[in-house]
Amino acid sequence: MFFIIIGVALGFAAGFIPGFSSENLSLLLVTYGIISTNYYLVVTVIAVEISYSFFGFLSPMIFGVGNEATSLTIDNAYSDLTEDALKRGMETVASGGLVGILISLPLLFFAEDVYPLVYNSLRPLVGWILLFLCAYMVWIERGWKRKFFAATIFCLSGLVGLLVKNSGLIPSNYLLLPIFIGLYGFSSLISEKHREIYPMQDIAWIKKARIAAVAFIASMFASFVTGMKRGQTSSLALRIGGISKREEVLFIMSAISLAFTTLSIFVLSSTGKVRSTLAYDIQEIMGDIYFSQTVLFVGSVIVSACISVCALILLAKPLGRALSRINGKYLKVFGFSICVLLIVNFTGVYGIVLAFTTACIGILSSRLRVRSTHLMGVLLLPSIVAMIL
Amino acid sequence: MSFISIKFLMILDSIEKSKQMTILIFILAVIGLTAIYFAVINIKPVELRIASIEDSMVDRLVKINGTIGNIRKSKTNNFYWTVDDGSNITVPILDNKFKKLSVKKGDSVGIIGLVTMYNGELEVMPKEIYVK
Repeated sequence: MFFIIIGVALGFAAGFIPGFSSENLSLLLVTYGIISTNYYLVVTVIAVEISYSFFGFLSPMIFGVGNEATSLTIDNAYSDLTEDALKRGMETVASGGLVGILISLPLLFFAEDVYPLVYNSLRPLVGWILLFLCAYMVWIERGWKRKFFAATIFCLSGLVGLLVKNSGLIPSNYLLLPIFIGLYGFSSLISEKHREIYPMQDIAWIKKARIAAVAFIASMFASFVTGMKRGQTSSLALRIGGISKREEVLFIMSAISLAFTTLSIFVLSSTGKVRSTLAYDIQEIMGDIYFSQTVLFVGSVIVSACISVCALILLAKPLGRALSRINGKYLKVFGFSICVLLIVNFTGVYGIVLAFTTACIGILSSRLRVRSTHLMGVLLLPSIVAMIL
Repeated sequence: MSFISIKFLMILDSIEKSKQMTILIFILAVIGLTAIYFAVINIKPVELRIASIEDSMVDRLVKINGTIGNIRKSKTNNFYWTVDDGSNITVPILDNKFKKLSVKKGDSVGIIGLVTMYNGELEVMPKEIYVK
């Protein structure tokens, strides 16, 4: 319990630092071996990731700076919220996240049988499914000009992935650090996006149930397909579910983020495949995991989520008040400095070059007004090439 | 330094949202990609014997030569070769282009790849494979 509370507190702190993410924090915990017992370390990392899945929405809502999972909120939902709207926004994130965990839990009992079966059946087709999804994401951009820009952004970021994958340029454990900080951290820290402030509206229960069903199907699907991340899953769910109202976007993104993270533990346990940073960290620390360990980890997910939700709801109002007094620019500089220090420390000069390049691609996507999910070409294109060619 | 960098990049971004600025950022991205490309192609593999591969060499590009001692197929349709030159090491074959190679036990191969560690075991993740 002590380690869960520590993890939640760390995830909470990370949520306030623009450009910083739970991946960076977990990396620090795993690398420096601050917690020596493997079980406690895994529980702490789970608490960090789960609490960040909630608190990570604070940075895009307050400062307009997102990451792979939350940057869509800037494109489609909220940023620069007023004090009252922030409280409502945080409550929406809390309820969406809880729904995400609830819908994924029943799968725990079928994971051992279902996942290997579906995974093996889909495996020969995964490359083509990914290719189709990426083409579809480009296709749904409005107008030929934007379709072209989206394809360009996808190819540019994909080229980065192809060049650096298995190249030995940067230690493989830290390869994603400069890439994601550049694509999502630096680019949104630097880029001044067009923002509007909207009043929050309640979502009807029947609508919430429908959104939960869409989130469940989307997360389930994403957990089978190598390379699919939370950003693309949310983007597809928004399109297919016909979800466009801002509060519904926030609700479904939070639900998908938590469901995806929880399901990734089931996938790791049943197939040994890594689908999220959390799963990667668990595998790094524990190696292969068994069903009994999976149950323990899922317990940590539930406790972490409950503590995070209580904290979100209790702190929503005072936080909104306090944050309205903080100068966002100083926090952005603070976040930027931490990210630069991390990159230099773990990846050296090449990491800086990589982060600079990916930041330029990230800024381009924002300037050309295409969805930030195309930036995930950095992971998807190498996966597609490896699976199809 | 980072304060100056962020200020510089903010200024760069806030200068009129013109086409020229977008093109400039595109050119910077291409320059960055070119720099990464040249950095990557300049990493030369170190040719060595399998016995000399150790934990500290994880993430180094190496070249090994040997014969295929064993080929194992996993449940997920991936192949795992054991390459032998007196000592042996596992070479996971995950990319489709390598799965298409027609090799059998006893074939001589040269492998350029990255030293990785999986479940505490050292492996060579292939980038190029030459069947001799």
